[in-house]
Amino acid sequence: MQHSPAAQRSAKAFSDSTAEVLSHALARELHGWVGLAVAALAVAGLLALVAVIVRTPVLRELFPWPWQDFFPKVVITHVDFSLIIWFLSILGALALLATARSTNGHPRWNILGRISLVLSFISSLLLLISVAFNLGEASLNNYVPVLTHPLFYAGLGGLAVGIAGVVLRLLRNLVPNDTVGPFEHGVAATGTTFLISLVCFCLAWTALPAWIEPALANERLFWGGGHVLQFVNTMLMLVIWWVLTEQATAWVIPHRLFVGALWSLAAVALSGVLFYGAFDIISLEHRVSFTQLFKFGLPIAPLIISFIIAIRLAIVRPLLADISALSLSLSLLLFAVGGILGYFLGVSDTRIPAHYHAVISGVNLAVMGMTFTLLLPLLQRPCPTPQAVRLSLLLYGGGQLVLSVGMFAAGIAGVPRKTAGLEQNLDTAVKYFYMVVYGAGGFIAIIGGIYFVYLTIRCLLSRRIGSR
Amino acid sequence: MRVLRESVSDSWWGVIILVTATLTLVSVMPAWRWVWSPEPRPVTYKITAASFLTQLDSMIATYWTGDLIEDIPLVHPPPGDIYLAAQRFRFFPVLELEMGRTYRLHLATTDSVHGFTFPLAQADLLLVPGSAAVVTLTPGVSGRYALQCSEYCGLEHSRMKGWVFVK
Ligand SMILES: [Cu+2]
Repeated sequence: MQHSPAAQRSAKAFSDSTAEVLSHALARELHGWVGLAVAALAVAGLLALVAVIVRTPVLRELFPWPWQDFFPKVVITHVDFSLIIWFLSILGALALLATARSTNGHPRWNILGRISLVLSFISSLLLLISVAFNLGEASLNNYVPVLTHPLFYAGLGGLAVGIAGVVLRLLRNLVPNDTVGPFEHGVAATGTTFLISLVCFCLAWTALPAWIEPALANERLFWGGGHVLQFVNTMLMLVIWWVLTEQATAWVIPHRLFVGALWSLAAVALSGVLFYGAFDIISLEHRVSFTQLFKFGLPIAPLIISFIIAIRLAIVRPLLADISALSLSLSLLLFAVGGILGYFLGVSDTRIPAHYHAVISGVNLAVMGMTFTLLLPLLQRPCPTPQAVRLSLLLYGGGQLVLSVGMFAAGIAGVPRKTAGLEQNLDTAVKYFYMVVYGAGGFIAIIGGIYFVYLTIRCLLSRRIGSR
Repeated sequence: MRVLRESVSDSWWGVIILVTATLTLVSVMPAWRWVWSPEPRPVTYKITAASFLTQLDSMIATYWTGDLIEDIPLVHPPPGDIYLAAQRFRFFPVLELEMGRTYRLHLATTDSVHGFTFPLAQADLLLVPGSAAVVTLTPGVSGRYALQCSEYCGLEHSRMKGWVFVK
């Protein structure tokens, strides 16, 4: 009897069975996606540094344009690199792995992957060029802040097409294939949700009336699709949790539960498309409906999955020295803290950034862990030592935990959001104390993040093991 | 065989519960918003920025207390119709109200679209040019109450806040 690839693989560890189907060409493409992801983080870090320089009295005179104008643009590009490009290129990498696994390393439409990768690189460069030449006006709208210049929008559009390309290659290869495992299903659901976010952006674009000013136009353009992108990030994390759980406990999350969770999230995200038909895009209802979709549609699946993983971790008790177990535990912790904080938000104080810092760092910790336990080993580069990896995870995760809890406490004490310096009404010592605490947490997290980028880049730039 | 056994041991119950719970929550979402929402739908009427500013200015001219709060006049109007304008990036003027009295607060933007979030009146509104909204409120407890813009309207949106004093 002929065994299907899935049946042959089931007895084997996930990373081993993936390594077997990763052809030389696909491995090179994977190197590109991981490289783009880490480069995006490195660029985001450099932009953060530029932002600091732009705010420093003497140094800011070095820039050829007024710093008041330039500062928000640097912040905006930093956000887009550290949230959008970073997560989406990881999605690209996972889509590639799922494609390889479901086709035994011989996907149809293979060239699409290479084209998508090149397009995503060029598009990211367009965003950088836009900020380097101080193009357009800054718009600090939610989710995808922008510089209002055609070149910047072209970069975002190119990135969208690039990621869509690698997702479409996966879906093309899954359709006629019945050997689709939970990982492939999960990535396919995540990729499909990414396509749904693109549908939302397009619907918003066509629905925007001509009379509204750029600030609100950008806000509404990215509002619905931006919410769907947060579904994508959450689903990305769930898929990575699946991988890390398998590595840390030699056990997989029940197949149907996992697949059901991921596709139900995609279905919820799809229902967001209906809001474009139901409500006027400018209306309050449009705004509120997406936040409601979030509150009601997002939590159940991660809640159940994280509960199951937590029970499994409690039974197996893997050593936290193990990278998979450590990153999985930290990711669960931060995501849970962030999720809980999300239900106690104020209207507009630091409780909101406290919530999303915790949630996003939960996603980041999962991605960081998987980078070390799956992606870099697949690329056959000499990996950093476990001690170094643990240090970067602990600094980043611990720092983010202190940052979010401190920010939340400061929010309750009443510090307004997104302002700095004297305007913050630090009228009580309590608020000041919490701000010092979260400042320190943020600093530690940044050190951890820089260390992660350093370790990964050093690894990516080194020679393949066995080559001379 | 191995695959078959694995898929049998993988119960359908978990996924049924998960999918049902998610879909139930999503489907009650609209009901949750419109049935249990504490906010009454506001009354709106057509205005021009100029006509609204005329009414606002006459209220300020008559009832200005002589005080300024962060360069914005503090106004103490009598119960009844009172006016508040949203403009990039402030609310104008600062109102001082009396406990236990009922006010009809007329709100409008005099430039671009803004949001208006005011927990004291349980209000979360969208202020669109050319239209004013009316919110009825009867403040019960004295104090300083924050209101703010809830719709991204420009780089200084996050600083667009205002105050209402209740005495
Ligand atoms: Cu505003």
